[in-house]
Amino acid sequence: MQKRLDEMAYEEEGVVANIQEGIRTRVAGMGIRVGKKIKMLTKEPLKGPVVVVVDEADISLGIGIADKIIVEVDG
Amino acid sequence: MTKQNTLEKNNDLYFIYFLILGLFSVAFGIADLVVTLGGSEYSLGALEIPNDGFRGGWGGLIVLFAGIFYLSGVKNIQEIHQLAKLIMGSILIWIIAGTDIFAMITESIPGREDGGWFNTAQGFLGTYAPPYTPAIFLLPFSLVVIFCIHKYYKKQEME
Amino acid sequence: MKILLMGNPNVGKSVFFNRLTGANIIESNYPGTTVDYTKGYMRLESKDIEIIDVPGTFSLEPKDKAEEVAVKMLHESKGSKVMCIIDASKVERGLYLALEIIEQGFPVVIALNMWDVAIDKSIDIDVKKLEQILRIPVVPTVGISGEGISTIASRLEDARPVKVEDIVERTEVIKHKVNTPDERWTLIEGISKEIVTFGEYQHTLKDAIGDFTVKPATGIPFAIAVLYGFWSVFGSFAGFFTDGFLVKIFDEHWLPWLQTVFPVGLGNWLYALIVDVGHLENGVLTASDNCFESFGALSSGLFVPVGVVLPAIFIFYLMLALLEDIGYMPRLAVLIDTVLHKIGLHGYAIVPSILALGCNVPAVGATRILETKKQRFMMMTLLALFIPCGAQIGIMQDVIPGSIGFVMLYLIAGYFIFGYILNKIVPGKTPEILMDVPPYQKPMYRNISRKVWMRTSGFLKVAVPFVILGSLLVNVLYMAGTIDWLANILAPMFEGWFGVPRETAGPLVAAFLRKDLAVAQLSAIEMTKYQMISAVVLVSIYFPCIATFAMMLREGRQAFLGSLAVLLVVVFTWGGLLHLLWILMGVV
Repeated sequence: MQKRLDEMAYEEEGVVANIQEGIRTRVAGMGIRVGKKIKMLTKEPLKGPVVVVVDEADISLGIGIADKIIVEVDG
Repeated sequence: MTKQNTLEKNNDLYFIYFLILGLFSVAFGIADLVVTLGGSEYSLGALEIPNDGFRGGWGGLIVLFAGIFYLSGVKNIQEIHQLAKLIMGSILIWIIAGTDIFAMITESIPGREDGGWFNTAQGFLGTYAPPYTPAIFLLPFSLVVIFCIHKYYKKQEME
Repeated sequence: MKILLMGNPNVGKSVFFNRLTGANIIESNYPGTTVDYTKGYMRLESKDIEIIDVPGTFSLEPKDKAEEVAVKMLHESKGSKVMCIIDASKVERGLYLALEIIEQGFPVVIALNMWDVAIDKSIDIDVKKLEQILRIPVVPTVGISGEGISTIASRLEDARPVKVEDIVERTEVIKHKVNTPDERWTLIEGISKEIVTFGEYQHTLKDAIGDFTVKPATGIPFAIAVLYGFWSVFGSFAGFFTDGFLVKIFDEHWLPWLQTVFPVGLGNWLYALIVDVGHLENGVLTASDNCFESFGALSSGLFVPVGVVLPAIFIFYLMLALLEDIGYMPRLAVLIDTVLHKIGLHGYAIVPSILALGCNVPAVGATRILETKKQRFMMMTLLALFIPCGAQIGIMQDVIPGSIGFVMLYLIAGYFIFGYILNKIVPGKTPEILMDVPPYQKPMYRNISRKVWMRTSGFLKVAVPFVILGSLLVNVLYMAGTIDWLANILAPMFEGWFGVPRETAGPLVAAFLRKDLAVAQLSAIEMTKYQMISAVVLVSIYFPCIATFAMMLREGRQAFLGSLAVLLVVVFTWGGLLHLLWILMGVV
């Protein structure tokens, strides 16, 4: 099942399926690329940033970026 | 008793301990807030509950949070995330009690406005006498969590 | 031959640099920019070789000023060797930059730094294999302990330029040339698969706490506690030094000494300028008995920055540096980004905001960490207007201890409301937050002392001379009658619009030059508690002190004028609003 990154539930894991063209280079430098395993750690309230785990590193992304990343979640 | 039973018994012991500690923290925190909103100081023997907006209000809120951290981490403390919550509860107590003590120290050393450079020996010691704030009472009990961390790492090494 | 030290931000480059160069380093500014870099010399085979700490960059396709400078510096250094510092726990990112540098034809050596962190995370890297694939020296290092640093320094002579095509062949991952970012990443992921193994990584206590302090339900109470601790220690420490000792030193020793030693005496204009203005007691001009009221350039002009502000900002910056070094600040930035983003600022804007509570001068400098012009302008304006500095806070605590909470809240409210408005009217977008949340680490004395020194000396070198200058100017203007003249003209506005007694006009006008003194002067005037609050708020929000003024001017004339315009609007509305509030409450 595919979800936007900001729609993932806490602790949910998945694989990055698609990243919108405009932000692709920006997030690539931080380790978020198609095919990478990704886990949702937490979401800040009031449409705040989300924190995800990729390759054992925690990264925080604003919602404006997170909603442009599609993840294939397990189950 | 089997190893498993001792572990369970220990778990129960800690469960009760932190449950009580948590409840006391919550109570003290609420007391701080109530006294602050009420307006006048409240002393009960060696216990003095501050009433100023900063120490009583903000500080009291944090003691309350500490209690909530304890209560939320009470089940199954061998699990790392639960232990982390207990540690954070203690950290909060350390912040409040620590800053209370630091404030006492910085108040005890200099002399008064009309006095000399340094406080008299009497004045110095007098600053440390009771009554104390509730957080300071909680402080020694909050240190038990260090023991728990020690045990956790020992267990890790054995595995 | 030069050596360039390059790498991503936050990989420990500066620690590395410090280890390689020892004491003789020069901080420079890249011409035409606000980007700084450091240059030094390292000993290599009994020769001193120049080594440059290039600003951290993620790639050679720059996304901000600092990265642009890094790229420029690389291109200006053909013939140099590059020491690439990579965070061993984030190898792929580092390799991307390294690959791009290799493509440019530079000889490269790679330091897999923070090797200890990688081990903690059960990440293992086959260093030999990586060396084989890349044909460049690769050395695991731990910058903070120094392990591996001499090894990699000695391997610099083995560095040779390498062709990317050869690397491609050796990995057998892709069959084509590497030209685009996507192709580079594919190559890197291929290399990474061959050399990196992720072990069974179990969360440690440090990680659990790290997570809890960034999750809102647990992180926000924790942040509230940390900020409380910050504030409490600050108050105790500052009180200890200022009220405990410095007041005595200045009032009972420095001032009387000045009064005795100065060639001319009370009543003389030079004496009044520099030492003591004196005051009238029963019609007779009498000497002041404390540095504060004396207003002299060398009495109060020295007392306030050294006696009141210095201990305050020292402890402030010490604690801030501690929190930064432990790794807490990114989490705080993430937690607060929710709120700050709504007014167009990045979560990291919390850092200059907190710095400003110590002294606005280093804080304005710190706005450079924000990416866009719009954010820098907003931050600078907001902090100059709504964040009172240590001097003001200290005096406020002396003069209006009971109302200080309200004043702070009113100012913070102004910060957010006007932040919101500014966000809507200033052109430009605010980029979304995108940053690492690093694991907690042991704080290092060296890092902390360096930071504290830099920020405190910024205050001493800039603010103190300006405060003394400001005192002189204020006294001159008072003597010349300029202030009273201005006060008379503006008095109706102060009384009518702001609701404060006309006697406050003098101090309020003088506040431009000495904000701290103005608050003290106000305390001598008879007025109601509410008028006092209005007057103090007015002093806080209008005209940043002269030192901050100078700093703001340095950041650009356009921004400065813009800030000035905002200031005028804010003073009238936010100041007037308070008066309105009192009227509504019926306390006027």
